[in-house]
Amino acid sequence: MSRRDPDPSSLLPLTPAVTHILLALATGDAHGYAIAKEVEELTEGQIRMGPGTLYGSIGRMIDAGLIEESPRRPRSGDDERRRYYRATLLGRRALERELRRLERVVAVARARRVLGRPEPA
Amino acid sequence: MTSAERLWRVLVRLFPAETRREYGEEMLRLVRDLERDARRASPLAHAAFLARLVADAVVSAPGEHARRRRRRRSELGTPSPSMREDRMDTLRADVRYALRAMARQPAFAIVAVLTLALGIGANTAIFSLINTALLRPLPVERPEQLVSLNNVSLNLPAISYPNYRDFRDRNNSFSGMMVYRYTPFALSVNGVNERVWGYLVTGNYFEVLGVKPALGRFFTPDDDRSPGAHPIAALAYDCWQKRFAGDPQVIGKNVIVNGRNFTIIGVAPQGFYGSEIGY
Repeated sequence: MSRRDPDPSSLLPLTPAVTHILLALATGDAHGYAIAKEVEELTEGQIRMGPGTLYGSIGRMIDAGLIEESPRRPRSGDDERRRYYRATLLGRRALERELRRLERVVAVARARRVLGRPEPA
Repeated sequence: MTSAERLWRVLVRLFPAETRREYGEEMLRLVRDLERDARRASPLAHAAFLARLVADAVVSAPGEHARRRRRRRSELGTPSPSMREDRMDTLRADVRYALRAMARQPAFAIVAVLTLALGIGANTAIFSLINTALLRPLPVERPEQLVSLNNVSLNLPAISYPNYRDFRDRNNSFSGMMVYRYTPFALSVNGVNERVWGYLVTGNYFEVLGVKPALGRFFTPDDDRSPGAHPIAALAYDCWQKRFAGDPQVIGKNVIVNGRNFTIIGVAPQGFYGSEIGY
């Protein structure tokens, strides 16, 4: 990463859209459509990203240094003109801190019995 | 071209030009992919997708504009925007939006501009009238010291001459007291008869107001002493110009007012039209 790395904690809390995009990119590089589908699946259809929301978020995340365009193109016959994105080190760290933060929130909620046992998967 | 593509080509105009250049193709590709999925699901899902597309553009475009502005600033190396600059940005955007809206509906814009023009014109005319009638002080020596006394018991702005004399002679409050009556006259000049408005005034009228004549002299308290002895008149400046062609030899000439001979003794200064405002 060439840019000056800010402290990932300074970017918290992440918005749901940013969190889910980072989650979608956690397993590997992906293009816009793949990200949108992954986010829709991860949230069970609660977050459906249109082109404006998705590319707006992508632009903001690139500005913040959380993701970057990936030079790699999968060979598996995919449309070569599609642009692929990947999480930067900062992005991965920020996601981890955000998830830890949420974990603490959930732990507090359980301790105070606001939230019951985890639902079976 | 599919319906979603056509719709998106319109909606994408809401986004900044940089965003369209950078992500335009990607966005359109995503629209195609998502539409394909929606079509496969059901016609209802397709309709819902089109509605979501509109909402998506309307909700996310303003944020994109803000982000591009921030980016342009940071590229220029300018410091982060202050609240004031932000407001100026909003103002500029509002003005641009208004101009675009007017350009789209020129007929409405013309009607709106004409309505405003008429409204402003009418207000200006009314203000000019009010300014002359109510706001501008009388062109006298100390207009702020003028007080108008009226008889309230009669509900008429009237007073008898002997009563006035008593008030004037026992007055300790004012530097002077005069009375006048604004009234129409039959004026006859060189055989031309006209109905004009003028003032019947006491001898100290001009002295109390502190107005100096443009020509000749004005009345003095001495002129009041013998009633009917030597009827005299002073002309307004405009009357002198209009009916006597500004002739300086007018002093001493006679005019007929209400069928009686009056001697002209002086001409009032330009802009003085008496003690009533608005005439």
